[in-house]
Amino acid sequence: MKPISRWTIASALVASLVVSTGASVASASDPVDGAGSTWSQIAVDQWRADVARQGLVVNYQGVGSTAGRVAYYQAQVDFAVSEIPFQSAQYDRQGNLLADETQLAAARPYAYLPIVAGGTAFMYNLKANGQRVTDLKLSPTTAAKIFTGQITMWNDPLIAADNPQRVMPATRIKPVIRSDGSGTTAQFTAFMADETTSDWNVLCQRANLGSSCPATSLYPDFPNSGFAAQQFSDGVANFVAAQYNDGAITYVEYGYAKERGFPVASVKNASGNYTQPTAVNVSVALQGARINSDGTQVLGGVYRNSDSRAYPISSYSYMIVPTTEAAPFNASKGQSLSEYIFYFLCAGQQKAEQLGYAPLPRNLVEFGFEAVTRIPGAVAAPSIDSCSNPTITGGFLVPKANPTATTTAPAGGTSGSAGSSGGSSGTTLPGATTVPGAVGEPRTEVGETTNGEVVDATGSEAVIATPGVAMATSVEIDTEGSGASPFIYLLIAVLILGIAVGPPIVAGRLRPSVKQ
Amino acid sequence: MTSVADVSESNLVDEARVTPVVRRSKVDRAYRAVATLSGSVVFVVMALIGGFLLYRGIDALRISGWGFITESQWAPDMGGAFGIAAVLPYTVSIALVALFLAVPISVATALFITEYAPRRLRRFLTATIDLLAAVPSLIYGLWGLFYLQPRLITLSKWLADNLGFIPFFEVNEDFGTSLGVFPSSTFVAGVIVSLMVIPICTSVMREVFGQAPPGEREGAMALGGTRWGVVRDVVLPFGRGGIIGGSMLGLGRALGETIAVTLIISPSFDAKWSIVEQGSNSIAALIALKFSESTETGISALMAAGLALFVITLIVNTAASSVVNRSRSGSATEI
Repeated sequence: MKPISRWTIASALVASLVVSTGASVASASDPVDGAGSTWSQIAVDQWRADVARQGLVVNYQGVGSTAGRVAYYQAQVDFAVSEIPFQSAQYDRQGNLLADETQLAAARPYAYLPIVAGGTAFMYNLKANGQRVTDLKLSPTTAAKIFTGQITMWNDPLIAADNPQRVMPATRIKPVIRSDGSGTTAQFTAFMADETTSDWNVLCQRANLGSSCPATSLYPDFPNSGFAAQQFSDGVANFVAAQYNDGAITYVEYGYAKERGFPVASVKNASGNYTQPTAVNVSVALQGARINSDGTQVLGGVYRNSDSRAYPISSYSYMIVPTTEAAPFNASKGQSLSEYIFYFLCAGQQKAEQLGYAPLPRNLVEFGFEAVTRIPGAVAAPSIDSCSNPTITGGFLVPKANPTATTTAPAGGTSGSAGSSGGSSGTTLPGATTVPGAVGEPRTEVGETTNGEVVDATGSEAVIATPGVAMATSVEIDTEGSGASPFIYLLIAVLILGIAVGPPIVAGRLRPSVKQ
Repeated sequence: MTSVADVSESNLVDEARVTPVVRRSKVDRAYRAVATLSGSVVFVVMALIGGFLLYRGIDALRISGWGFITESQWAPDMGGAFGIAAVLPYTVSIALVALFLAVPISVATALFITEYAPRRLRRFLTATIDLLAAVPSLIYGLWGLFYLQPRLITLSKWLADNLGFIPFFEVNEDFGTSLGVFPSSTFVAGVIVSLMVIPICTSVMREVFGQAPPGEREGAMALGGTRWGVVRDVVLPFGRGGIIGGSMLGLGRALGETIAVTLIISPSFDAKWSIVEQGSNSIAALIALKFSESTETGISALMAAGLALFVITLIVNTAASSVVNRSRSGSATEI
C-alpha cells in the first residue's frame, strides 16, 4: 500500500524531528526560566545575552512584577524579578480576603537578592518669563504633595521655600503619572509610603482606598485630580517634553530625561543637600540599605542616607530565588542560576550605568552572595574583593567634584550585613585615583578585561569559563522562549502542514475506493 | 420591482423542490464534513471566548456584585471598588466619535469610487483603500501620537473656546484652557480610531454599492435621471444594508481598538460629557494597561470588563446583521 508507506515515512520524519529537537534542548546546560519586572528587563536581557556566550541559558519573560511573583508561587518559573516583595494579605472593602502572596509563596521557600538599582527622577517642563527653568529643587515632602494633588501651583509657598534662588511662575502643576503597571511607580510609591506617609495616605483616602495603602505598581488616581496618565517611561517623558505641556512634571528614570535634554529636579537628602539622580549618587545612597532577618529590605537607611551625595529616592529590584528543590527547581538549575547571579552582581554591574541603572554597592553584593548560598546546588561564592563590580574594584564611588564627601561614612554602616561596607569607599580609594571609568583597573586577579569583554575574574571555578578557553559546545543561544517552546512550534507547524496537505491526501486515498 | 423579486424567489423555491436525491461520493462527503467542521469552529471559538471570560471574571463579579455596573472607580488590586460605569461610556464615546467622522467620509468615498471615478482611478483608489485597511493599528497609533495629536489640539481648543456652551466641548475652568488640557482626550482618540475605521467601512460599502442592479441603474438613467438621481434612488437604497453593515463592522473595530487608544488617552475613571478635555478611557486600553501588574483579583476584574465589551459587541453585531438581513437585495428600493 503506497499511501500507508507515505504516512509512515511522514510520521517517522515528524517523530525524528521531535526527538532531535528534544535532544538538543536537553543537551544544553540546564536552562533557568524566570519572569517578572519589565523595569529590570533591559539589564536582565543584557546579562543573559552575556552569559549565553558562555553556554549558560537563562530565559526571561518581562511580564510585569506582579505577574512574575504569581508565576513564582504557582511554580511556573525558577526565579522571579520584582520591584516589590511578596505582598501581605489584602482585603476588599467588605473584608473579604483578596490575596495573600506571602502565604501563597510560603509553599515554595525563597530568598530575595538585589539585582539592579536605580533612582526615580522628577523630569519637568517649566518656563518662567519665557526661559526654561533648569534648577528646580524639591524636598521629598514637596514632591509627594505634588504627586498626591495637594500642591497645584508652581508658585506654592512650599516650592518657593525649596527654591529661594528664583521666583516661581504662577503656572498650574500638571503631574504626569504612569497609566500602566510599572516598577518606577512601585519604587516611587514605596518611597512615599515610607518617608512621606501622611501625604501618601492623603492620596489613598482621595482614591477611596481606605485610610492608608501599601506601595503599588499601579498609581492610584482620583476624580478631578488634574493628573495626566501616560503609558511607558517613553510615554510620560514625551508627554512632559511636549511643547504644549508647560508646567508638567513626572517621575521617570533619569536616562529618559537626559535623552530629551530636559532637566530633572534635585531632591533634598537627609544631609540637606539637593542632589541629582546620577548613578553615583544612587549607589552612594544604596549603601544605607539594610536587610531584615526574613530577607525583606529596609530602605529607610537609603531614603535617609546622610551622605551628602546620596540621592534619596533610590531603590533596587529584587530577584526572588528558590531555596528548596521544589519543582520546577533542582540542584543543577541551582548551579546555573548561581553562576548567573555571580556574573550580574560582579562583572554585570559594570554595564549598569551605561544601561541606565546604577551599580549595586558592596553591601548589597555581599547580601546577594549570602542569599545565593541558600540556593540548592549553588557554586561557591568568589571572594568579595575579587568581585569586578565597579563599586568594589573601581573608583566609581569616589566623588568627582566634591572630595570632602569621602569622609562621610555611609549611614547604613550600623547594620550587620552592611557593616563592612562602611570601609568600602576607603578601600577603593588607593586604586581609584585613576580614571573612575577604567573598569576593573585595580584588579589583581587573572582576569582579562581588554576590549570590554565582560569576563568575571573572580576565580575560574566560580564563573563559567576562563577567558582563554573557548567553549565551542556552548554556542546554543536560545534567547527566547522556554525549553518546551520549540516542540510547540513544531507541533503548530505540523498541524498547519497537515491542514494544507491533508485533504488532497485523504481525497487521493478515497478516490480508488469510489471506483471500486 | 416587487414582482421581479417574487419571480426570482419562486424560481429558487422550485429549484429546491426539484432537487433530486443526490448520491454524494466519499470525496464529496469528506469535503462536506471539513466544511461543516470549519463552519462550526466559529461557534465553538465564540463560545469558548465567552465562557473563558465568564469563568475568569466570575470571581470579580462576585466581589463587586451590581456595583460592577454602577461603580466608576477601578482599584481591584488595592482592595478598592471597581466597576465599568466610567470606562464603558468612554469606550462607547470614542467609538461614536470615530463613527461620526468615519461614516460620512466612507459613504462619500465609496460612492466616488463606484459612481464617479474614472475606471483607472477606480482601481487605484480601491487598492489604496485596501492597503490602508492592512496598516497595523500600531502605525496609526504612533502616527496619531507624534503627528496628529499636537496638531489636533488647536482644533480642540477652538471648539472649547467657541462652542464651549455645548457640554461636549466644555472644559473644566480649573485646568484653564492652555493647550495642555487637550491632547489626551476622547476627541483625539476618536479621530485616530476613525482613520482605522474608514478603510473597513469603505471596503464594505464599495462592494455593496457596486452590486446595485445595472438594470435599474440604466432604467433610472433612461428615465432622464441625473447621476445624483441614480445614486439617490438606486445605489443608496440598495446599499443601505451595506452602509449599516459597514458602519457596524467599523463600530466593532472602534470598540475594540487597543493600541492606538492606549497611546493617546490619559485614563480617567470619572465619566464626563466633554470629549475635548484630557481624560478618556476604553475597556481594551484598560486591559492592556493594567494586565501586567494586576493581582489575581485585578485580572479577574479585567476579564469581567472584557466580558462586558464582548457582550456589547455581540449585541451590536447581532442588531446590525438583522438590519442588514431585512434590507437585503434591494427590497426597500422604490423607483
